[in-house]
Amino acid sequence: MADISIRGAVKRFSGQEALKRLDLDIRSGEFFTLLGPSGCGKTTLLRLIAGFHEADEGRLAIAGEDAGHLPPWRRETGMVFQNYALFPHLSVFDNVAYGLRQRGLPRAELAARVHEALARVRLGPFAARMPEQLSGGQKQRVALARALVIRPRVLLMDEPLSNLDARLRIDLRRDIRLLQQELGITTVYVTHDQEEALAVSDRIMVMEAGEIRQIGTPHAIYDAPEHVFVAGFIGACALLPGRVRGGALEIAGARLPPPAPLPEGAEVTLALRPQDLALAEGPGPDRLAGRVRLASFLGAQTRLTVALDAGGEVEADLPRGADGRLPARGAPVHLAPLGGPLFDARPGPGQGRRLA
Amino acid sequence: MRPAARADAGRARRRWRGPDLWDGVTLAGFAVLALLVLWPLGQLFRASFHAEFTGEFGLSNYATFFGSRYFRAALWNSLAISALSALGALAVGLPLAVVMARRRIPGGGAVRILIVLSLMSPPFIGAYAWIILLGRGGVLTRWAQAAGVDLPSIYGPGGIVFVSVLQLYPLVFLLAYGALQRIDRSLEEAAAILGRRPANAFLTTAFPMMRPAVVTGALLVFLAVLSDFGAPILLGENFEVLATLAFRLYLSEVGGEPAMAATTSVLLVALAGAAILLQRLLLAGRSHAGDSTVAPPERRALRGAAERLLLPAFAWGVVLVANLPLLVIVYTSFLETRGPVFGEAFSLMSYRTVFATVGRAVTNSLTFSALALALIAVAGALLGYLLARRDTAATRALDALLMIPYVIPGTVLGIGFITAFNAPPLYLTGTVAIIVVAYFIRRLPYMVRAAAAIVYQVDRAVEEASVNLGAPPLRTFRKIMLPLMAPGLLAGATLAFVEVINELSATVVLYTGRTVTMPIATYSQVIGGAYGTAAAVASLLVLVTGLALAVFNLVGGREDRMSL
Repeated sequence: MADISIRGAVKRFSGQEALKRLDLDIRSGEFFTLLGPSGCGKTTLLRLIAGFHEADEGRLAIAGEDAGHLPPWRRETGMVFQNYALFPHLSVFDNVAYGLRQRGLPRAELAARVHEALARVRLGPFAARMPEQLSGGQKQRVALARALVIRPRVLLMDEPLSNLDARLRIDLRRDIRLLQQELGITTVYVTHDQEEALAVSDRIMVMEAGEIRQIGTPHAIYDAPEHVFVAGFIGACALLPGRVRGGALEIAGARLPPPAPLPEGAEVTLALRPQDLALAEGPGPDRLAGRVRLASFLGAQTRLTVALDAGGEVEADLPRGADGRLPARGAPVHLAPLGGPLFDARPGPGQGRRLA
Repeated sequence: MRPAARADAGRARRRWRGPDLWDGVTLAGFAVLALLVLWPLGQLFRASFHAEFTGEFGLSNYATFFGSRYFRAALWNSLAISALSALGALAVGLPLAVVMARRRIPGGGAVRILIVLSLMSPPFIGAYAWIILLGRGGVLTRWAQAAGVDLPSIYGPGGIVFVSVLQLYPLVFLLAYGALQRIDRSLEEAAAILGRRPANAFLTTAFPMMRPAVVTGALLVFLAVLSDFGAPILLGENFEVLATLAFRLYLSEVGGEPAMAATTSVLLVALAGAAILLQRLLLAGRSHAGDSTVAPPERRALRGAAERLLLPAFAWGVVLVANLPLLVIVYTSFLETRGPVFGEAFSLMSYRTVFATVGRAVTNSLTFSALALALIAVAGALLGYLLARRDTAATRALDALLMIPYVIPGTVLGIGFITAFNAPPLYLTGTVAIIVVAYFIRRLPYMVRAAAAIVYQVDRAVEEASVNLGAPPLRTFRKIMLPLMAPGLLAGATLAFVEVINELSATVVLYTGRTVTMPIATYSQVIGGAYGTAAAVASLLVLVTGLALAVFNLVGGREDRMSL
């Protein structure tokens, strides 16, 4: 097991900075997820660790050793690819055995380790199959066994579930997490699916445009976003523009008490999750007024989509009423914000940072 | 593992990302193309600007060429037979493709196999077989004379076009048929629903989508006839075309006129290049419509007496006439002969003569082709991989250079090779090497394309997975890419073998008594009037070709690879 340390990593593609001077530490045995939209640099960073890209600047250390100059075949990482990347001309057994053969393992030990790895991913009976005879989920489990059997220092996974259907994705991500905990292997996992990231990770690093927006536990990322991008990217969240005037927050026609003292005239963004809004009985200075556009029954609660009179749209979760009746479309409603994080909206270097 | 990794780190810091195998392959590719394509072509080009006897620099050779009615005639003749053959191939190949794609012809599968077979039979053998049938004293000629009918002569431009069309119409057929199979049935159905009658619906929907196939097919036929040497030399008699003119100018019995031969060669290459440019212009902005997953319209059963009689007669008539040469060659090779006259009785005398006099041709052909094939396979695999996986200015330039051999007619390449490699340090004239290398460079582009096409189909991540598991790039290429490429390489190599073993137009310039090949033996036996021996050598050639094609089918020449 090994920790990974990255200092000042810069990667440019034809002059464009894909990674903008990143510093991060991944702990030994940790399930660390790189999360962000496509083009944010998460895959570039993963491939940097694997050695398929070389950083233009900065240092990379795996288990305390400088690894930035090691070629990819000497990095002792195990990688799982989005498209499985099984060797189509080799059987399941030979696919898994491939890395061990490169290491010249004695035949008996090799067979034992391959069978053990296949058993771990519950594919023992499939050793003699060819890749084309497997389903997508089975292929990805072979790929996982193939990466793990070499006992890599780190496991690298590049959107391993995105080619699978929804149901299988949930089953397999559970399997991956269980296996990772069992083996205690340091894992770097790339995904654009925030739900997946929240479900499996010890820590998540949210990236945008080659920069780190936040590193934290799933709880911290969800409950205490440090950047407006994180708030908007994780879960459903309305971002409402506002301004501090006369000691109060003016947002969408309402005047709210600021959660912390803020300078007069400050431009801010308020992030409101559906559970941060409650239905109020009537209008008031600290209420958001609007009309119902959509009411969706979600089982445990009802989610209202409300078009605000002052412009913009929010979502609010209502506890399930005893009568189960949904508000009618177009009905006027008043919502009371229960509080949410505030972010700096002034253009400049601090834009997007959390204020309170 | 880890201590080893640490020990390697310092070394890796210097080596990794430095020049690697593929930089070497790029460099070698440039060197090979420069030496075998640019240098000989450049020599020809240079020679064409130096006056024949005085060596003075200028356009005097071109002035001579265009000032002479004889030379001008060769130019026009070349253009005329190439264009007429292209039209003829369209006239035969297009209707045949439509009939085969849209109607159920009895024995349709056999017809399709016979079409491919006639394409694969050696070109000049067709010309020779038609001489046996329709030449002076030919079998059919004598029958017709006995019946009081004068058949048109097989000699001259008409005969060349006739033989070329029968040889090459499959090119048009295969492309047009493939295009028809990729047109979704719903298109024509939509047109029908909109009120078009079936014939009209076909002309307005399917036909425009076949345009790229039609243009490309016609161009391929045009280029093949333009650079063909065999049919014009056997059938042309006094009818001179550029390919035969260049040959005769170069190897004339009265010393030769190398500068004029070079000038003719340059013009021939220029024409071929212009034809390719024209095709690019005609097809600019058009991609081949449709894809292979669509459902083509079903073949309809034949309706009415006229359809039932005429369409099968047309389809079977074409393939039987086109394959008649093979039958004639093999049949006559077993007849007793005296010079150009075939007797009635069966005999193996022709084969005995072959092994007694030109047995060397058989071993030579097999050896040269095998050597060329080995070179083509290795270089094709490496270059194909390089062009598919590395996209740099250098590889793009290499790709463009690889296009050049497509447009160099064999005769021109032969003359270029002799011009370029006739002095130390590369004195290759008359050697085995010069023939093998000529075969190699002529077929290399096809192999590179075939190999690159396979590599494109393999996800890059497959290679990265191998590297990630500890196999350095070269080992990854050997363990992963080569096995994946092997079936395609083998299939490509088999086709290259077929082409190379039947090569006549470059060999005829390059061979000596020691390096005679089967096509050369056939050619010189025909010229010398020994028709029986010629038929026997040609039959052996057909046999080897057939065996190679059988191997091709075995190693994965699946139906779709022949686009049937």
